[in-house]
Amino acid sequence: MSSIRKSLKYISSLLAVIAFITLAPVTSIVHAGEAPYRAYTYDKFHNAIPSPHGYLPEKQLFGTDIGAGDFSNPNDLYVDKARNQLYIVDSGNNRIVVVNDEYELVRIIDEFYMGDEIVTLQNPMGIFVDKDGLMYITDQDNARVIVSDQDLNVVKIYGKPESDIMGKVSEYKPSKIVVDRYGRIYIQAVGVYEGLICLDSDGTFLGYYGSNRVEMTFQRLIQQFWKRILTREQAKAMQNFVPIEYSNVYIDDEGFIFATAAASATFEYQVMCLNVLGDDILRWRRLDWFEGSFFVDIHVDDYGFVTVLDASKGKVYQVEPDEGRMMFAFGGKGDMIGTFVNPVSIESFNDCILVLDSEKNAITIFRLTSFGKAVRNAQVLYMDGKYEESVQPWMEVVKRDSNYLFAYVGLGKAYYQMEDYKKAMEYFKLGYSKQHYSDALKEHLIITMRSNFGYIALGFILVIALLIGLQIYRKRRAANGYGHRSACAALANIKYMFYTIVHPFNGYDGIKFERKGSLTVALILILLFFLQNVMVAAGSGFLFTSGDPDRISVFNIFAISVGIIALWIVSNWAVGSLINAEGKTREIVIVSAYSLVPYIMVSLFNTFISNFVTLEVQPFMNMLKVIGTAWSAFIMFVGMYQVHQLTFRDTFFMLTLTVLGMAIMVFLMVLVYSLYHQMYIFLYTIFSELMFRI
Amino acid sequence: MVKPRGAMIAYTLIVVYALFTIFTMNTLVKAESLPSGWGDILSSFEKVSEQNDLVLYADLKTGEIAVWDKKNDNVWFSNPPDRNDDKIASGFYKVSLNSQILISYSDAKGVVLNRGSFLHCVQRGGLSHEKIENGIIFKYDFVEDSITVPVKFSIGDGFFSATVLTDEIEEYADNRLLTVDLLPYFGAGGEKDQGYMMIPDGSGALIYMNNGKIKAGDYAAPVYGEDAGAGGLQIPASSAHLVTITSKETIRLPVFGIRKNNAGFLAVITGSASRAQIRASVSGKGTSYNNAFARLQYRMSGTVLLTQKEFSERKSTIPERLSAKGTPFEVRYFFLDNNKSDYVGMAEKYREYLLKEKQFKGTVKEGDIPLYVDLYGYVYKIKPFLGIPVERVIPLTTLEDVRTINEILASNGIKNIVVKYNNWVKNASFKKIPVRAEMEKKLGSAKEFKELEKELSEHGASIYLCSDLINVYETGYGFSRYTDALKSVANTPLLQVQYALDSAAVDSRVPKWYMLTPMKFNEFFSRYTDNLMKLDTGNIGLDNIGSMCYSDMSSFGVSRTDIPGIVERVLEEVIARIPSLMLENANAYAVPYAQHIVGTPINASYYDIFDEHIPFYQIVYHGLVNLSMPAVNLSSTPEYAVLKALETGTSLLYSWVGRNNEELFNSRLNHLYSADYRLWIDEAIANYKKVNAVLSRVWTKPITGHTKLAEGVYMTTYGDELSVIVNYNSAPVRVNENTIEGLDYIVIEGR
Repeated sequence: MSSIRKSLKYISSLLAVIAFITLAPVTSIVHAGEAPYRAYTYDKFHNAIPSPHGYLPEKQLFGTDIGAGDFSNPNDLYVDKARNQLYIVDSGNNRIVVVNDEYELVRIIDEFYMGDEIVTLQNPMGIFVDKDGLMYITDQDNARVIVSDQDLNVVKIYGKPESDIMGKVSEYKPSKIVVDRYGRIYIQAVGVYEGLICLDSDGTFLGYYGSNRVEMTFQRLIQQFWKRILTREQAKAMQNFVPIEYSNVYIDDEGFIFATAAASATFEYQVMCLNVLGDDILRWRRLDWFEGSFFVDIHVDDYGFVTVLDASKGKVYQVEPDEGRMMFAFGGKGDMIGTFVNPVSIESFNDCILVLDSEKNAITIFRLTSFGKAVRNAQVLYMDGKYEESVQPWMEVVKRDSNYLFAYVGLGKAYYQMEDYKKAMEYFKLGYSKQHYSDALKEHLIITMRSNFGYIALGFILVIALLIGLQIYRKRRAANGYGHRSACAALANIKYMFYTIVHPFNGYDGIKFERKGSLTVALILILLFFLQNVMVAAGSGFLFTSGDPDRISVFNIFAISVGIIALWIVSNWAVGSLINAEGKTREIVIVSAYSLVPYIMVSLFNTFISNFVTLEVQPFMNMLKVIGTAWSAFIMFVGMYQVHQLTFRDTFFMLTLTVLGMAIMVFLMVLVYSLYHQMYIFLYTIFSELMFRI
Repeated sequence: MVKPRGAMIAYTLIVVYALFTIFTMNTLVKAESLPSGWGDILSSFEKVSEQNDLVLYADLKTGEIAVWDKKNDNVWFSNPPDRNDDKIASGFYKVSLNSQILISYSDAKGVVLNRGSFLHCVQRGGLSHEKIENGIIFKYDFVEDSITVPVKFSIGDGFFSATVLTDEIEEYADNRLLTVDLLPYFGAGGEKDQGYMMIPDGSGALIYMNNGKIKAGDYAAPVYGEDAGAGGLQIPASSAHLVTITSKETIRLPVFGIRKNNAGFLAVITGSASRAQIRASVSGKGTSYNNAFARLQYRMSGTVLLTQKEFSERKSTIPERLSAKGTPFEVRYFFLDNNKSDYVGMAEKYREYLLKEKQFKGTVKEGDIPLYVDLYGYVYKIKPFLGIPVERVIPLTTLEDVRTINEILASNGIKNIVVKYNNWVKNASFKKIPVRAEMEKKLGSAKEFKELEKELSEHGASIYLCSDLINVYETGYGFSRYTDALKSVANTPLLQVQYALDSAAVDSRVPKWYMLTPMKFNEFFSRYTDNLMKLDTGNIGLDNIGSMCYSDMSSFGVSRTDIPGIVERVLEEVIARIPSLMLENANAYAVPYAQHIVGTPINASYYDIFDEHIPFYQIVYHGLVNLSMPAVNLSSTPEYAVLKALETGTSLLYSWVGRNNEELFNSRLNHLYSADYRLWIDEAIANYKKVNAVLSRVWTKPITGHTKLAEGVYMTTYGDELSVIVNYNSAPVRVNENTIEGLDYIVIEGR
């Protein structure tokens, strides 16, 4: 066994399963007891949410139940579809047990005939049976692969492949095996990191199949850089990037080879489908649910659904192949029917999934539930592009599990295809699919605009007429001498603020020397800045909301937005007094606040339109944001220049120092908080100790 | 004439002989009064008591006990008579086989040690005895460990009783007694025996003797479930994502049983049952015997997390301050008739015990069986208002919706609708403790509720307002975290966490919450009942007070022994004012007070060591209390609902909401993933009609038979009235002359 596998096994056996009651304290009317684990599906933020079970553990099959005596460290299962038989590689007993689809014993194979000789197995680890019934068995401790027909006559024996490249491997330990339709043999051997050993039907070593190009990651780049600098000895001492080690292989009816591999720092793909060249065509990047997993077996059923067995968590995942999205998850570690101690192999037989546990010496049989059937039905139609036909099946899934998000995407696609865009949008929103929602929205807007073109055009004309009218009215009033006089002071201040935005030099000049500008307006603006940030998080349209809108912390947003402004003002004032600039506190506050206005305006505008537009508008919104931010920055600069009465160069210098000052203040705050936290823990511990001794 | 002296000698001799015989008759075992075939083995035993048909024997030198059940001619031994032939047992297992009690204790340094009475008492001269009226008290003095445990063995009215006299337990040094295993091998089966151990785990389970599952773990579980007061899981966060939390059922009845060949017994734990743990094992693991017994947790401990430095926590185990002292730990062994020694016979025996000893009164009524409609009032969700996130009340089932659903069901001929109405109290849906019992405005008003209840009862339906007063999410309404929250053994309020579904990581989106301490049950439940009475209802639902058994291990807490008593008193007072009570999945002590028990378990835990799941809980209570299964629409296999109902004698339950079904996603009620009533109501009506047609005939009759006829085929007999055969397979099966279609059932009249 490889060192990686060993250490993982050690770790996973160390982590004892906590067997405790998880009947939700809230209500026990939920079916807590259908299986020894909870069923779940994932939402868009990778939180596990409740769901019915797709597969349920039906029973555990021991060797004695079949009538073959106990298994001893069994390591592989193989379903021979042609003859409807299940092969169990009972490694510890050096035999293969064969059962039919009722799990009744057909025969026990422990010896083969080669002429007059009897050939036996020593720790067999894997088996493959081709469509003609030829059995390929990896006889691990004898370092060979035995090929025999159904009458147990040895047809061929493949020993250790002859090749220069193979020479490096000291012990040949063939483990898992598949054979393609041309009779080419692919062997996964222990300790071989170059890929799968590929042999021709006559035993010629064809090379390593699926040998992974060692990925160029950032880490490796740095490694290369260091290697150039260090001496040869030092470079050698650095960690060698070992290419991947396969853990198991599977070949489907079409000849595609699927494989699982151990994860490593340089290797992202733990589940692969290899093409003729040995390249992965699945391209499932490290998926969320892969975290911490170690896949030891894989099975692909007739519909293309991929089922993988994770030994580190003891779980089985059934995945749809297009994006690697998880459909069902079940199992776990433990001593219950449905949990495992050391799962090693997975197969499917009729409507059931079989998992072999080499520690328990048993096969656990999981049966597909009605819910599982409904999901698979719908998914198959979806994968075939038959969206319209998939409506009823997806509706059935939604009925059984309204938390199953992908059902809504399926329904959305169906309605999109049927050109009912409004409904499609509804469903895409429920299914949290932004790209699809945007596409549907676009179509919907096009249709809306086309059908209401008349009204829209009219509306446009009216608005333009209104604007022109307003301009004329204003000009007339100005001509009649009603200049900038306004009804009340507050309005005047706001008007002045807008004037400053557009004429920063004059505006800020006025603030400095003519005591124009209003502190009240400034403070309101800061509040508005905070509110605007909240609105971005909570009030943006579905397409533009990042993060979970139900989990917004208003307090956090307040702390960050108002906090940053406050920090800026304080820091600026401090730096100002250090370099003897002339800005007074009031002026600094007003400048800082007024400069926010373009940013706020743009942001509010963006938030507002985000509720109505498609994703395609996003670049435009981003551009607006850039303009707004640049404008704000510009005004800020001018403001500082005017208020502190420095040269351009000095103003720039001062602003840099301000930012630095903010960083220092943040650092100090973190320090103080940390100290306070320590103190709090200390006092709390004393308090707990006292409480305990009452 | 006869010589006078010779005659006198003769008479004297006769008299002396007679006196001698009379004198020793009661002390030495005579050949005729011995069970046949056991003479040799019982030769060292002394008869200590005989009552009705039970005779108790004791070996005064070794502490062994034997009971002769005269009626069925079975002899039950505390230690298997052929134990010396056991080839597997060695070390402590060998000691256990010979012991009547096993103890574990922690010494001054906190190290836990195990001792067996055979080695550490008897062979060290620490065994003494005292004969009492109907039995004998053996005093087990563990001389080297400074602990004395007296156990009383006696015969009662139809049972053999083994009692640990907790009041007289002495710990005369620094060692603290933790557990006492009582008669671990009583009635144990050997390698040649056939039978099973019955464990009331969830609905019930059977462990077949000699099932060969030597790789499976032994069975051990606490009666009435794990103690929340002990502190919880405490899994280190760094490895949490690799651990899976296993789901298990709880032991709801304080019983266990052994069937050995034709004989059998049911053991009922009658004293301090909440401190019991039921344990069982099979041959081939430590010994070649199959056994089941009760362990007394004399002293439990709580775990506390101590923060040593920043981000570094350590788990600490602290023993509780109280102990089991004060209430004797009694296990009563009821011996079953040889033709009724299966698990149905065990259930009948337990039912008999309940009706007689506990004066259990059945509350079921003749007529249509109830259809349970489990409805949820409202939930809080954060919705943006002009871009600002605001928490709002989202109504899920208003009183109007309740009326609508009822009308649909009633118009289809369903009369006995029992509505379980949850999450209806203002400010209390996952927030404050619902003591004020005020109807949330968006659902309706108190007046509307009173009208609705009247309407429903006119049709033969009823509505139960249900609340959970045990889990408290916010302080307020009289609940203070310092005086009313359950405290840990370190005197700090215990915070409950919710774990993620895919690992053992704590779900950080769910805020931690408190639990109500048992000392305050009376206060809060009576306040709640007072307020509920303002709604003029004769029905009350108290959810989990019957299913959660936990102690308060803090300085002024309460021992687990007293919890069932506390709950019983609370429920007694409740039903004195509001007569009809509904509970969820209740433990044995709470069942007698309720008219409806909803969500009863229909399976046991999935332990490897279990061989069958049986509906033991239902067989005990069917015909006495109204029982329902867990929600059909939330099941992964709702197509089995009708079959399950007919097999177990439970009624159907559906969990629904009336509106805003899409708001359940991402809410605290997101486990209701299939709750739109419109999608289920037709199926519910059809299913109910099928089940009611059969079960209404036998709703008040006990289950008198339950067997597995084949894989996935079960037969249940109700009284003398009828039997139902259900077939869970998708293919038809043949039983005698009958063919049962796949996923179908047949009814056979009579027995």
